[in-house]
Amino acid sequence: MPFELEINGRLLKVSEHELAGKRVFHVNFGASVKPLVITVAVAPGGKKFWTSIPQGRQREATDIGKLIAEHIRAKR
Amino acid sequence: MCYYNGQKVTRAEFIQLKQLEKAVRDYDFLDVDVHNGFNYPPCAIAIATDDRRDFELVQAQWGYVPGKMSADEAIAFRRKLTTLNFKAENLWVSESGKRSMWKDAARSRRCLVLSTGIVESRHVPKIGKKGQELKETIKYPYQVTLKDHEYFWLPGIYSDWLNTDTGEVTKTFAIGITKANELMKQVHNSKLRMPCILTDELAWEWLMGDLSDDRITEIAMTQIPSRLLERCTISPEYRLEGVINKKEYPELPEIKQEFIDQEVLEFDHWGK
Repeated sequence: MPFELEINGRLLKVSEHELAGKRVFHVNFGASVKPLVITVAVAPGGKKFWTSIPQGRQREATDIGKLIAEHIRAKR
Repeated sequence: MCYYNGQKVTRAEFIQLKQLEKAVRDYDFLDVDVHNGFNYPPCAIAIATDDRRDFELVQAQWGYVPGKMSADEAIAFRRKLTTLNFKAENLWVSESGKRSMWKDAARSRRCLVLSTGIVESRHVPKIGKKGQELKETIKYPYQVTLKDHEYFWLPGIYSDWLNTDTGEVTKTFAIGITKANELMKQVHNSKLRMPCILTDELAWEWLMGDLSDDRITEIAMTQIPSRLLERCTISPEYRLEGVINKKEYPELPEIKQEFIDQEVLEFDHWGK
């Protein structure tokens, strides 16, 4: 089910989906900002990192991805 | 080696991310608060697997379009008939006494529509300069949800619409509506109808069961008791922005509770 995260005093709505075999997160900022889709990609050597899909919003992907990871860990 | 979003990735990972981009472009994320039916939005519906032992969630367009039609014909069809909802009373015979357009689908193409809440407007007459009630009304939108449930199921009927312009097949659906309970008579006071909200058991039966016409009607008539519902008034921007923001309207008369507590419904399948 969707969940909410707070970043810089702003409440974001996040929903999880499986697309093309990947786990993706759709982040809804409300009406004023375009929604963001992020996923975990793997760098050479196996290091994982958050990325936006499509490219172009890497900083947001990194910041919000960390919060999503914390949220998921806290739920376990 | 390739780069994606400034990060080094393998060629295989790069290809997978590019494929994902396409999937993201084609996918409508189903996380809006409110689907405005008159925009014919994509929604999540459950349809039975072929062996009827399980179901899958698929994306479908709200606004039933039967069979083969061009896009223009589909628009005209929806404008003429407003096929967002079907009345449980008219599954077999239409209001004019003819064969119902829902008949075949009710027998063989039933689905469930996933909902987290419904929005209906209460119409309150405007008051004139001399204090008299006018015919013109003010609409106050309410969100109605099911107590202690994050989501619930509505009975639906679907059709695979073949767009004859493009050859594209789109699942389209309509939601079952029934007679309003005491709460919904006050909230949706212009129509006195409400969506039919099913128990989990009835939802399973609607989707999987080999049902007689009478049983299909009986399930589709289900009226949820008012005591199981919660409601709040919301601001009008839900229509355009698809978001729910609670809003108080001090001038709005309270919903009458006394009827709710004594409610007896003809098709209450929810029990005590």
